[in-house]
Amino acid sequence: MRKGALLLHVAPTLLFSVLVFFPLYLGFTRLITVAELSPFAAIWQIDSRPSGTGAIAFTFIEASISTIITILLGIPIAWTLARDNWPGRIYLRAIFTMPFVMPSIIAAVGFLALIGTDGPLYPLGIDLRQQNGIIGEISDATGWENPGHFIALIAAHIWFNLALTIRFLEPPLSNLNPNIEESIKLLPGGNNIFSRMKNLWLPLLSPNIAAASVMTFIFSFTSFALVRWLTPSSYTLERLMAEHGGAAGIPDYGMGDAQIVLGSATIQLITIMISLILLNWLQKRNSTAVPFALSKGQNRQKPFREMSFTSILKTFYFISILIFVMAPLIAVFRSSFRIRVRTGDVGFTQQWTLEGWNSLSTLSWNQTTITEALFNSLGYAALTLLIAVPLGIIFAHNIHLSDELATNARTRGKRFFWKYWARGNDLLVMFPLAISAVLIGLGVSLGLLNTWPSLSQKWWFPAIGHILIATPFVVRSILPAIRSLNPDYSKAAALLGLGPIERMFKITLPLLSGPIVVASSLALAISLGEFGATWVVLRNGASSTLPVHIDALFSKPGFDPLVTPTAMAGASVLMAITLILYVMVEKYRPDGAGGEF
Amino acid sequence: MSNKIILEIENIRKSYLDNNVLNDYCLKVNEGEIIALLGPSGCGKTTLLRCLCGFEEIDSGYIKLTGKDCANIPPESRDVGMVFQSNTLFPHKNVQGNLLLGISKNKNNNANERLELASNILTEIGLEGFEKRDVASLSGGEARRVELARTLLSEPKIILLDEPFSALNKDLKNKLIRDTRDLLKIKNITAILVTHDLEEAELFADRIVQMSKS
Repeated sequence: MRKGALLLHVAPTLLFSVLVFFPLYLGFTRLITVAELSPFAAIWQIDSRPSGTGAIAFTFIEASISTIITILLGIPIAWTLARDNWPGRIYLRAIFTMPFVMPSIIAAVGFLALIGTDGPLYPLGIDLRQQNGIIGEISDATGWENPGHFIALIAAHIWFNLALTIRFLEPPLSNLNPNIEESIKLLPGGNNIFSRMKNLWLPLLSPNIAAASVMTFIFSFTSFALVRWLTPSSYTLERLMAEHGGAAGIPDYGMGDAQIVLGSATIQLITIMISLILLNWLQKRNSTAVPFALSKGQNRQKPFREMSFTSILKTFYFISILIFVMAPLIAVFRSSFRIRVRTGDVGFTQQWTLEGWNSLSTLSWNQTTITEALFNSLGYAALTLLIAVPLGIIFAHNIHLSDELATNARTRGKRFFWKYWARGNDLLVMFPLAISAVLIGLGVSLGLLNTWPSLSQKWWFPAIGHILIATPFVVRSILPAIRSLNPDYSKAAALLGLGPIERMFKITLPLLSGPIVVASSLALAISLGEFGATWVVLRNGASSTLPVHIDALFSKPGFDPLVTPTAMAGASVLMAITLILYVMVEKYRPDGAGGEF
Repeated sequence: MSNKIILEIENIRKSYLDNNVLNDYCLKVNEGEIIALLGPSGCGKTTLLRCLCGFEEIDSGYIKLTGKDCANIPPESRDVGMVFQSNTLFPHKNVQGNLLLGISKNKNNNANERLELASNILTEIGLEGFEKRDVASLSGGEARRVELARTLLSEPKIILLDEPFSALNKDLKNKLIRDTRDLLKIKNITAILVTHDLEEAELFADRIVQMSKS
């Protein structure tokens, strides 16, 4: 390998390792110093603080229940999308998978609007917020505190992660060669639906189901904005880390906070490591499903028959899920036109208004308006785009090249090296996605800011977290496309006299233009919606991002009736930008892409 | 065809882990000569071509092209052209765009001259007026011709053809083999065809070299 190529291979790995692990190392060192405990001893201190009591159990329970229900609800959608030629099937899939790219703060305020007194559930007697009516009766009968909050959180996690089940399961289901199913129907081991499930579908789909489950579990385990707003009286480990992280770096004063953050971070890291190892193993098993792929020109979808009983059932289910997916987004937009008005001495009513939209550039909080926060967000997003996309492309290229070098290696040593270099890079680049945004934010604030306080004055500083979180999405968008490129293109170009750089710019990048648009749109959407890391690093202030600013507005004491419609108008703007980016992603997504983002 | 040796392969070895694909393989090719490497699957024909191009490093021996050892020369600087078994026309460029990639800008030709070269070669291969055609709209035979034209425009010292006719029907294949041979002969270009089809080898080559599993 030439020196330039070697540098291009090693430099991104080193840079990314430093950006990910160095702040974490500094952060953990700081926490251990302030907490005066080892990470494992700190775990036992979590329950000693009022906010930490029951947090470990709550985190595992909510993540497990969210995962189980998401998978159970997602499988029928994936199955029907794969097997039936619904009218507008592509659009339905796009709508069902849209929540995954939505900023978590949009989901939080959307569900708040849905379950509030002005929402559609309240008149039906379902009050998940104040827990009156049916929910109050459930609470009284069972002794379960705040069941409404828990139900809202699980619903929001399902809303967010349904896309994962669909993305992981739909492609193998739609690509399964019909001849395989037809042949098993003729055998004793597949002559009824249960035996086919046991002998064909489950063995085929279980790696994908398991991979979707692991990802859903990780995202539910590490969710922050939804927990913060929908279960105000319950803490998850992520919320504990975020809300105690501010004081955790201060010696003596922050000892208790440091212990709680250190203990939470330790459990979180161990859990996520185990989940990632499991995911890696499952995805390796998953690759055995490829031989079942359809040949070109074959179509798997059956025509949709409108009048059969199962079709009516499926239609009803689809419409229900469609309403479920759209409701929080509509609620956000609707709430931007609603304002609280006093009636008499004690009562309030809601009226239609445009004042929320008119106040976007005037209503300020900590000297920042929503418009200013939006421009801050756009600045960070642009920087993320400029760094994360080239970095992700180089990473994807390196991983692919390492795989090829492993395949063509002349010695076992070289084969071993390149194989594990590829796998190591793949895991490294996925690491920020798995360790949670708050943990990245803590690494940045407790590690980097405590060591070099002047960094907080640099305008680009908050973008570090965004770049780390967006890069895995870029790699996952580009890598499958690079793998599917005909390798002879590059060889043919080389023989036409094009050097490596010329080949990259004239052949490879133009051929990857679709996936690059997908990756860029995703990087922008991820940066614009990033909440956890930015919340920990910035809290609120002049350089606040739009999601953090919306959160701050909702935290404001509710005397000013303008706050909610203005925050909802800001959320609507963020939602609209994300929707545009999502349309770009769907438009340029390669056919049959699945299992990736 | 002259008696001047253009390609000299001497005792090259190539193995993948325990699998010896090429074992002390030797071959000499004269300038302007067209040879066919004939042999069963797995005998190392394609590996030999990949070594000639520089996509694979040889374990020992040497390859000399016009008397120069190719050991440390990257593929793009070897003056070797290749028509692959699969279609390698770049789908993001039309026929003309693909052909222009084959023309070196180092030969002081301006943009108009390059366009003229592309048009002329299309006429030579019987695809006059195809400049703006999308490569996806070409038939199998047309695509092969454009690939050959693109390779010819790069003015290689030797052209390697890795079973380029295998996916075509018999009539089209025979016509394309004859046309390709005629073109190579007119331009006095050395070529090596890899094939497992004796009839194809006889129709195309001046000399047939039999390869067997080492």
